[in-house]
Amino acid sequence: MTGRELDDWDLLESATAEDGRGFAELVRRHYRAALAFARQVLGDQHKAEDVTQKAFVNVFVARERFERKARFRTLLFRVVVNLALNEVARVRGARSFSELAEEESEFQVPASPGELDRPEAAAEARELGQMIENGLMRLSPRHRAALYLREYQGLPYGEIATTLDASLAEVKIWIHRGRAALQQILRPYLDRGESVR
Amino acid sequence: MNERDPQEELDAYLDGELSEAEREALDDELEQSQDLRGDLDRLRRTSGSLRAHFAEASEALVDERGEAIAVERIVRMSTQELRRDQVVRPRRRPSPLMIAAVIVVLAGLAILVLAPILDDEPDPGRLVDGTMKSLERQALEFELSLGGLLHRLPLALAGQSAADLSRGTLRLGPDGLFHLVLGQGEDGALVEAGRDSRGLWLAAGPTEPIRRLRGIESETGLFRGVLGFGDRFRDLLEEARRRPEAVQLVGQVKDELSRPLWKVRLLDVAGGHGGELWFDDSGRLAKVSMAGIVARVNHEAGLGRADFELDHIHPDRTIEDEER
Repeated sequence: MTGRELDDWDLLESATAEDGRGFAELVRRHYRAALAFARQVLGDQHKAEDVTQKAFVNVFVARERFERKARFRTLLFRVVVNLALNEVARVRGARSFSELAEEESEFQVPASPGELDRPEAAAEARELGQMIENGLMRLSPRHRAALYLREYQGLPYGEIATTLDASLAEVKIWIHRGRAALQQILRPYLDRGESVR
Repeated sequence: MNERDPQEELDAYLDGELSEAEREALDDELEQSQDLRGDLDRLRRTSGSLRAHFAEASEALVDERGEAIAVERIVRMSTQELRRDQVVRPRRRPSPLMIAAVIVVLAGLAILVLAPILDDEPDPGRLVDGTMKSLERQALEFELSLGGLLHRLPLALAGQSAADLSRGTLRLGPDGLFHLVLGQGEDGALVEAGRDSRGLWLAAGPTEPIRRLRGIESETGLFRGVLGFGDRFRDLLEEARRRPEAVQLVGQVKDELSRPLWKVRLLDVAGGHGGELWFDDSGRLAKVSMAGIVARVNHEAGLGRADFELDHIHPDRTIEDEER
């Protein structure tokens, strides 16, 4: 080693319009995680790629305005989720954010009876994965985002709240309801005491 | 009185988000209740299955090559955007009074100039029709971003020596004519394909003969994906012409250079998501997203039918016919 590894904020600050090497390293560190997060919120790979790309560009251009108050990834994810929710709102048309929030609070918990009655058809892991994916897609984008940040990124509720610009109570509810919805889908397996994955 | 619901606390318990007192209270209840222990076990396994699912999904999102290409593209776009921003943005910070004055003047101008434009939402059917007519008259030229789809490229076309197939250029002409440059091999040779008046052809560098392919379109799948982009694009436009309900105006969005574009969604025959088109204010097609490929329209290339003929593109190359 010739020197200490620069942290994320150092890399962001070192980047200029003429020299993007530091920024390239920063993008390499976080691209896959940001893309996966956007994919979970949007449920669409191509839109997720667009949103992730735009999030990095926005962060880069506005880098002088950010302060090192939080982890860089928290900031990046916040930009990602804002862009993604804008995209969701745009797709849904004229409905306002408050209407969306109301709609999200009443999301339908899942799984058609047909799916629940066919445990043998879903015995293979791939089908089970598809069931989980389908269940996730029935949740609202915010529920999915909260679940992803908790389960995969392992973030504490406080950091999830910061990332999603929500209250601690909202995050708690989103995670509880999200897991409850998925649990309902997986119930045939869970009740048999089988290992789910 | 604030009633506790142990069920609702299980998530926070699992995530280590309860206070010490809350955790101890729940520990007592878990000790006494087999049902509650069962609930916690199910919750734990649900959480584990979700974690495994997210891990698998994240892994499958993009391969290393696609990731490297995306990083390179993001850095290029970011530095370009910053340079543009630095040129446009004034160095000196203006006073709040100046800002207010400028806002008032700009708002007035915006109302006068932009309002008639913004109020006037385009008819998406006419936008699509205009594109189709444009395509019937002359060629459209696209700059393709293939991103993570590289692995779908047919090996026979990409070849072992292909070094950079991350971006391509596609020209679409009338009657299904196309000329596609996929990228350069390590030796700098172009990997190309096309359809002229005699059919399909492939070319991979100056030393290999050009192959003229017969009857393979529906058999081999070779012309699906990247190569089928042009055909799919035409099919969707035709479907949109036939069925006005298959064309939806999503709204006005901004591209990465902050230019306003009208976004239109096309549905396929089955009513599923077919693709998306972006048009500028004058109704010219600016960008297409379809089957995992994003294509920017460089310009109307102004090419005629003869420009797509193989003899015109490669007058000095040997041609081999290949029966498949």
